[in-house]
Amino acid sequence: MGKKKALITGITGQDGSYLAEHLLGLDYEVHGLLRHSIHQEYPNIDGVKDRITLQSADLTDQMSLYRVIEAIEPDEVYNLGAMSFVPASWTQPILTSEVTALGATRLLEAIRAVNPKIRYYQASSSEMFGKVQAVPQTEETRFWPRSPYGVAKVYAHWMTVNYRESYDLFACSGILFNHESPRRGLNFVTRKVTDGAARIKMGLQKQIRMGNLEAKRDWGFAKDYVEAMHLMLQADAADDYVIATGETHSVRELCEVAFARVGLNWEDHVVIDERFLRPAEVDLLIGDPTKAKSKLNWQPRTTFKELIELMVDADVKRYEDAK
Amino acid sequence: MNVLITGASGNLGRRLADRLETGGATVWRALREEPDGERQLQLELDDRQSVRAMIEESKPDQVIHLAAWVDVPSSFDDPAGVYSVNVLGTLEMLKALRERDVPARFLYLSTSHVYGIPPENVELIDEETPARPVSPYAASKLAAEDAIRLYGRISKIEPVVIRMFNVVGEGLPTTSVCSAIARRVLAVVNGEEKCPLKVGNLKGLRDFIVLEDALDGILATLEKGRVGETYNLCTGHGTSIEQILQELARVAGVEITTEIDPSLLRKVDPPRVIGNAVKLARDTDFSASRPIEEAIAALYRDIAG
Repeated sequence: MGKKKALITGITGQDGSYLAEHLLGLDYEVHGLLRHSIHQEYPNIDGVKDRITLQSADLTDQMSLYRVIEAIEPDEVYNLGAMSFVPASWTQPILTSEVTALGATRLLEAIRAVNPKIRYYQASSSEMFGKVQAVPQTEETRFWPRSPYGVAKVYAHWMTVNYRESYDLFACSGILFNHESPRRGLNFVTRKVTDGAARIKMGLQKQIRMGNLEAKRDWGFAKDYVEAMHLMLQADAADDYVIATGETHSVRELCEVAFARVGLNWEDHVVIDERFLRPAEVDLLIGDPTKAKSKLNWQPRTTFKELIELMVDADVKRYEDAK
Repeated sequence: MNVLITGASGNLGRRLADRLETGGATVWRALREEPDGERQLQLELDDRQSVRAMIEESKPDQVIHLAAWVDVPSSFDDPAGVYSVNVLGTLEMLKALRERDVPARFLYLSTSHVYGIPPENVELIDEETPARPVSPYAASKLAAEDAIRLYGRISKIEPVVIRMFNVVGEGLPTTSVCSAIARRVLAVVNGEEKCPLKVGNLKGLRDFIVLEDALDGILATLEKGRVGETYNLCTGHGTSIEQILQELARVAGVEITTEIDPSLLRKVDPPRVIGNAVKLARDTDFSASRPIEEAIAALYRDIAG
């Protein structure tokens, strides 16, 4: 039988790096796709780069994808690669579509041409729900994306479904709600707070400026969520799943937990800055993972408190190691 | 909405002016050259009358002040000259705007040069890092920043300061490092220069932002920057000239080897000068995201013609 082979696009990102580690732990041979870059530093995969093979290809280049898949003949392809920066999708909507939308079609075409038995995972996103049409959101909830990024993800989702139905490909769309980790970018509110708490504890700053403390989100741990991706491709039949905790927590709670972890009172260090207040409409993103729980036997294993605390610990350690 | 752009014939200035016009603003372009169109004004920053006339004519609601003496080496030869243009010229603009007594957003393009040599233990230079310029040029820019912040406190002027790191892409001034390196690669392609190229230290990490990202960042700051604040405009990532050289070589289809010429080594050459980009991202949602490889290709195409 030999080792199973997996190809991960977007392997250098948060999810890609956790997925690579997870699959290596399951004794997969792991390959990752890398765009040409003059920079060779990818901190997220530093721990595993000796155990994975990086292939040069680009989601905008059909032939490069075909060549890589033909050369490796993976058992599973995980398409995590995208222009993941939502604000950038406004200034670069065409490129966003080329990479995030059409990239999926190019991969599906390459799979179909090389070996239609290759299993395919599409990284879909709660951004597709956007202006939510039901609360909580399930696999049946209508999409209403609110950015070029969201639209691109909707396109890729439907391409995945369509190729499954038209060509009988084992193709799954995982609709993941917000998932965080110490590898999350500093612009995301979870890391803004955990990094801020760490910096304040280390005496590097005095306060953080926040917007609406009552804003709520369904936040999970990226490491738990990548396990669901793998489970989808092991099931008897290909299907789509919402991956979420089903709980929401407010930014206020985020601050409470993060600052308590470093022994500080958040109210002493958090300043409301009206510049961060978003427009009035509230998108109540809460995912219902019932289907994943019952069919894949997946559930989130990290509580909100544990997630925020581990992120704070990692940020504190980063500053301590740098001293 | 009247927007006045000084330095409007420069690489950034003319592109910003075009974009704002396309977006529907009434744009006044102030430049050193003879005006050859509507709403163009001739500007000599060290000529008080010229500066006053520019403000009186354009009656701006918003000002993007890009015009400056930008050459570092010559600023050592004529420090009074660089202060005259960069500080006194800016002060004359501020004085004239204050007299109008109406709110005016004032976006000033300063430079990462104001930081000087970063302290050794600093990984990313954030806006709180002490600014210790090491050239008259950089000191004049810092002095201009202070003048602008002063007028923010004593008038209806609403200042926002940008400290721009290195720009890479097309249209760069010929004195810029990227432009010079690209010309050397072209010289190898044309057979005018032979490898190994004699170079200084190419390994230092600097922060290069792609031209299109720089433009987007300036516009985002114009729109959403907080009044009175100073923002780095950078990527938060380090790139070495060596990496840029090798990418230029790849684009040009030649192999380039280099050899260190000790006479080209600088006395002071910090290993890393990289900016922290988080403050601007948090206040404006803007983050530089374009890949540098395309900008390097654009740079080469621009030089090679």
